Amino acid sequence: MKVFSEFSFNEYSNTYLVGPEDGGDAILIDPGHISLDLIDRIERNRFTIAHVLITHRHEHHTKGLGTLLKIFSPTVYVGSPQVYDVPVKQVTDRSIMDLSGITAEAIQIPGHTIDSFVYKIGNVLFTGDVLFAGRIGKTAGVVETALLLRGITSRLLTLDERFLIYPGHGTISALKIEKLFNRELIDAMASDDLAQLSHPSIVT
Amino acid sequence: MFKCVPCAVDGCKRYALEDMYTCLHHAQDSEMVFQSLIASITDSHRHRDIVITDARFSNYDFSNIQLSTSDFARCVFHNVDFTDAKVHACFFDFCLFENCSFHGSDARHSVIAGSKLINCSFTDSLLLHTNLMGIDAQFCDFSSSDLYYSNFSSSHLVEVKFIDCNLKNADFRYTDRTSVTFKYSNYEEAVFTS
Repeated sequence: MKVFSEFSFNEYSNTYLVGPEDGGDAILIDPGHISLDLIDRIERNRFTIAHVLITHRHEHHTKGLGTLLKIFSPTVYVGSPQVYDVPVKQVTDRSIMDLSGITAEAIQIPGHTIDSFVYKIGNVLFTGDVLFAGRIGKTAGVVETALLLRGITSRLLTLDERFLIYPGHGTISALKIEKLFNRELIDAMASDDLAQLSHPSIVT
Repeated sequence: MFKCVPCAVDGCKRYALEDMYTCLHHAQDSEMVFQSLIASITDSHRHRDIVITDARFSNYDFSNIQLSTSDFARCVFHNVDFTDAKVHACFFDFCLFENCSFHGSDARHSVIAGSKLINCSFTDSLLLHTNLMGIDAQFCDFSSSDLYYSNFSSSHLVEVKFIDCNLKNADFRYTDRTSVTFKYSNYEEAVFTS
């Protein structure tokens, strides 16, 4: 499996291209912007974009869909019923998808948005705006932060710490690195206030 | 993409070499396997998905090597020359680099987080989107490098030079800095507070 990352100046977001070694059906994750470089990379690797995974519906993770759909006819997977006017397949928590032989698991972690998903492919977590290198996703308030942290701690930090993190913005990382050096995560987990906010009676 | 396949030997916490069942330490004739991996890295071809973790590299010439999506976690590099190397999206996390040169290298999207760097040069390098979180760097020089969107958060920097660097969106939050210079760099575009 090949994984390529593409950086876009559109809100400094990352788009990821995942495909088989010898070309064929490939996956594009968060097509915030379809640049000529990205199209060139798709062609050089003899990929056809057959699947699109969207971590959440924010524009800088989806805006390239229009351009992409003029070139390819992929199935678009997202955690909400609609993205623009594009027909989608709605994913749910723990969905396992067979994407032309590549298995992807959807992990719903709300907080940044209600439809935020992390996709697990091989030993890589495509975390969107849930978890970045050194940061957690931005939220609208303390309850959303509690939801996000509960999701990160119960669904991601319990995985093998060598899982790689390919986030929606910023540098790539690994779970072990975030456990040790992500101060936002470490400080938030140590906070008593947050422990109270994470109580199941408050966050449902 | 490299795979994190555990070494087949019971109790071993290392990862197996690419296309093998064991880590380098438990490979039959590990020295021969190591030398063959070195030979393949240093030839003129571009390589992907190499896994050599927990190994020691002393006095090697890795100048001009081309590697991508490879894993060198927890390795020791002593007097290793990476001049003009291209190492894209490679993992060098929790390594020790001593007296190494990355002058003119292109290490974009790579991960050096958690490593200790002593007397290393990263001058004239492309370190865009490079993850250096939690590094312990002493007597290192990043001058004239492009550190756009690099991440040094939670790191410990002593006698480190960032002269004439592009620091736009570089993350220096929670860093502990002693005798660090940002002369002639656009440090006002870097992030120092959360």
